[in-house]
Amino acid sequence: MLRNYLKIAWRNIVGNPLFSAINIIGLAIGLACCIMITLFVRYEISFDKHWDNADRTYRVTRDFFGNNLQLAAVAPPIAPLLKQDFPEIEDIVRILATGSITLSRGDIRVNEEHMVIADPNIFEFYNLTFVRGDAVTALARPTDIVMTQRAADRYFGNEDPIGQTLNLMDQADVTVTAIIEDLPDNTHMSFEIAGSMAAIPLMMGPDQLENWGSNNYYTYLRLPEGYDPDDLESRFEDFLIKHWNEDAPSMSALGLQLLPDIHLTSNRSGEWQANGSIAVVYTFSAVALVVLLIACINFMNLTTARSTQRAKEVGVRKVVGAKRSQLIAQFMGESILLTAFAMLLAVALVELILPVFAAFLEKPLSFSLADPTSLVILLLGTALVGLFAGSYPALYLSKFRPVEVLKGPASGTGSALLRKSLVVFQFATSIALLIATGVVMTQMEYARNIDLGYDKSRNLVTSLPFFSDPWETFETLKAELETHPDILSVVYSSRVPSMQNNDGSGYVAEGVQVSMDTVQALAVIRVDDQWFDHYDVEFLAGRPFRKNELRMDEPTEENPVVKGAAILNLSAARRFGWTPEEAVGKIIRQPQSRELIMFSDREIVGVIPDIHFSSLHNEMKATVYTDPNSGGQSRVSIKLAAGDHREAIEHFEAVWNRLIPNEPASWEFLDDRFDALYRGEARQAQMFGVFSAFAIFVATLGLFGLASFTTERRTKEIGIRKVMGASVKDIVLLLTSDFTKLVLFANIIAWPVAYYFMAQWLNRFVYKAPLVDWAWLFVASAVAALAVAWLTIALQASRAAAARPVLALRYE
Amino acid sequence: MIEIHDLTKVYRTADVETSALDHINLEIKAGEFIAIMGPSGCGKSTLLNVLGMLDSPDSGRYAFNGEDVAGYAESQLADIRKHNIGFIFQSFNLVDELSVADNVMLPLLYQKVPVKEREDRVQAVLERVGIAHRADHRPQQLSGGQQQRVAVARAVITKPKLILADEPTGNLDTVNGEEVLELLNQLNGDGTTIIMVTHDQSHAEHASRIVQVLDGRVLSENIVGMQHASEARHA
Repeated sequence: MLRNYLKIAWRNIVGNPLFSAINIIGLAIGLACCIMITLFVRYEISFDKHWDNADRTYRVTRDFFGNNLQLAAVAPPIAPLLKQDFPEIEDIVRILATGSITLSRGDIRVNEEHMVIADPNIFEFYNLTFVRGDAVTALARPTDIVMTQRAADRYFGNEDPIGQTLNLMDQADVTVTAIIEDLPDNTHMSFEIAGSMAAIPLMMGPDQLENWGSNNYYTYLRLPEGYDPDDLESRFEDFLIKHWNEDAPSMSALGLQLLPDIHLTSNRSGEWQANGSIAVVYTFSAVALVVLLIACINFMNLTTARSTQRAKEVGVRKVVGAKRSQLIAQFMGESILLTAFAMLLAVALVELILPVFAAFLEKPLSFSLADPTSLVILLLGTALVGLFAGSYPALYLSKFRPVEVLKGPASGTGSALLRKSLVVFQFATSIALLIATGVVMTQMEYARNIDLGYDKSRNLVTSLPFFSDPWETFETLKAELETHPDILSVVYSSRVPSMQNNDGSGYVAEGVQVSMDTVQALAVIRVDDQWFDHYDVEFLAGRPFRKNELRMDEPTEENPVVKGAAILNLSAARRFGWTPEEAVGKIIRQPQSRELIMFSDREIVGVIPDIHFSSLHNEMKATVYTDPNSGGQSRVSIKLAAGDHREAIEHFEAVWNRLIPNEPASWEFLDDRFDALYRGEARQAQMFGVFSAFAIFVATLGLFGLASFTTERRTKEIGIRKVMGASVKDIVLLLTSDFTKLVLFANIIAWPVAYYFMAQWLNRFVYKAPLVDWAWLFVASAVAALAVAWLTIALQASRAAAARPVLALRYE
Repeated sequence: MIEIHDLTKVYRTADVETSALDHINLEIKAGEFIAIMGPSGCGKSTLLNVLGMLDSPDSGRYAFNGEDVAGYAESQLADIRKHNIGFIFQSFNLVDELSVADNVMLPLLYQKVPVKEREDRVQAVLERVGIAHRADHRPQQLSGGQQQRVAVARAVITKPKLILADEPTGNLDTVNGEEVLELLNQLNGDGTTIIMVTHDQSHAEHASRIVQVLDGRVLSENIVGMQHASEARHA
């Protein structure tokens, strides 16, 4: 029986090459999309699941309510105090990402971007595998470091790294005590070198590990099996009151994030690196399924439309004793066989396209048929898709009654209404995808071109080294750089635009009692006197800083109130209830001690508009601009003249290497930093575009097949009409009108669906492209879909219309 | 073997109601060769379809081998059909994608006959109808007469008690038509009951009884010469 089914299935496939090709290609594209998205999803959801006991490992987070800050890292004293107060915590570890650090060995000098300082139990906590050395001795001393194999190879090649020294920032020697295996790619953490937490007091001061204001330490804890994390979280409020501030509940809160959830669901300030997004995972999974669904619908439509060719066979089989269930099994089998061919083609497509796809996503995606899990998934997928696609045709074809089909050609070809509905669905989803692509691209264009409130063009930005005296170094650097004719301006700030700013402080208006209700939490950016002019920021009132306003002393017991200057943005001025003009000349007071006896008083010398300092995802914060001061992060912005920048950059590198020889010169363009803010969305837009193209292509393939079939069926009618005097144009219009109506109708479904989902997507941006910018996309997508459909059908129709009438009339 | 009593079949559309069979009574004994004749649209094919359980009557009684099958479900009818009835159609109704041998083997697949026995029986029946040399050909490679022989082979391979032939010579020339009728005679001689619908009077006279149908009713039943029937039985 099986051989009989296979034989007839094969002959049907081979005997109808056009329809078989349409089905196989369509299904192959849908399956390939699903396979690639599955690989992407599988990689994304695998993050951090491989660590031992990941299901009871949590990251401690911190929120500050005043300036709406949600931090991924917390202050260093929190970890030991949690362990002390909550003995049920099995283990807890802190990890500080150091940022760019220079390590050198002889001539080898590297700006390490993946160095951390960690508690010594990090290796046990994450069960990291030692290649050389062991956990007990690895970070025993402040000068010990542990490297991954990849990092060790950079400095030591084939030499034994154990016991070898490297120079850190030209300031201290560190010793390699162990080598661990490289961390896997699918983890939200990223480090290649780990130093000892014991070095922090030596590097940053004896009280640094007690500093509640330094929320830079990623803190992870492990709970016992079956322990409810909500139970621990509910006690954090009392913990903060006890150890930090009695007003803690209104100021800040701690939370727990399950380790494997971080990558896809966490988007806090100060994340280790850019995380993925569960929304993206869901979206692209849905889109891939839609492409496959369109291909399955093609199969259903084409098979039922051409059912007359199988009707006689069904009738005969029933006459000789076949039951309906046996016929259903036969047709399902044929569908699975066709899908198997499609799956083979899909696998070939995936092998071809996956390297490009992986490079585009910047993810290490891989696919191997040798992997038993992959093979099982492919086989299951083939069966499921085959069963789904073949279900309706099998049920429909097996319903034929012998008495109706054996006397002559069967008249019915299935529910025309259902077939039309399916075509409408295919085109509705394709049009919706097109609209979605257009909206994403429009928002990206809006983000690129929006008036940020300043001029970011032709700006090189760089960071001054961490341990140097930044202001003095900056002034020398500035003087030397500005000697070049292509360097127009060099300015200093704690952050450059596009950077997330977590610096903040509380201020009250002069004369107002300091209390929880009166303190305004403002973001703080330190700038020099030329910063606003450099970035072309206009003032609503007042002026920039003067040179003599750039240094402000710290308050002391002898001099508890110090004076300086500040510039507010519009939101900050409004916080205090001032118009820009009213704000100029006012004093804002910053408490500098918990006992409220030391203050920094700043006179407002200017007010600027709110400017988009970071991405359009984030609201513009109420911000105070203050004097540069010393310490902390120091950034330099260099404005270049229009034209070729090469000489200017060479000059910058030469000056830098002379003034800061121990640090390699590094720089980037501010425009590139801004583009990076939206790289995720830009990638999404491109993927949407590609999937939309696939969806339209597959839907069009199906339409081509249906149009072919319809034209063939109406050959005699076409011949008669031509004999009666119809022109080619009349015939083409006759054959295209039905399908044209379907595609037009598809817009009625596509438009509201696309509008709803894109409105939801746009809500991720605080600042979004206005409706008028993207409303035209609806019409454009409709026109595009109609054009593609019409061309497809018209091709068939015009060929049929051009044939000689006598051939058509002899057709039967 | 077959008793139908007061059998009615009505076709209904939105506008028209047509009585294809109007209170028909008919009795057919085992081993008979019956020809059903009548003008186009008289209901003879409908009668054949009901007798062959390819269609169900709207009212009346149909007893097949003593079993009242009029109200049976399709799956029950399929079971009775495959074990008892063979069909031969005017347009042959062979499956184009299968070879001659595979077409003939089809009924045996649904009876789950073992492979070796299937092959032996197919070979035997193809030789009987004189088409064994074309076993691997496809239907579209055969003449009309050859295709109808294949259809006859398919109809008899399950050794049915009853063969229903709907205008089996309608698409054949005189010579081929006579050959097919000769096969039917042989089958009838072996004891198979044959019911044949035909327009051709000369073909009808191969039968033992001719039933005339008009407007859905049996007009008359005439026994063709006893000598012809006797010779057919003892051939």
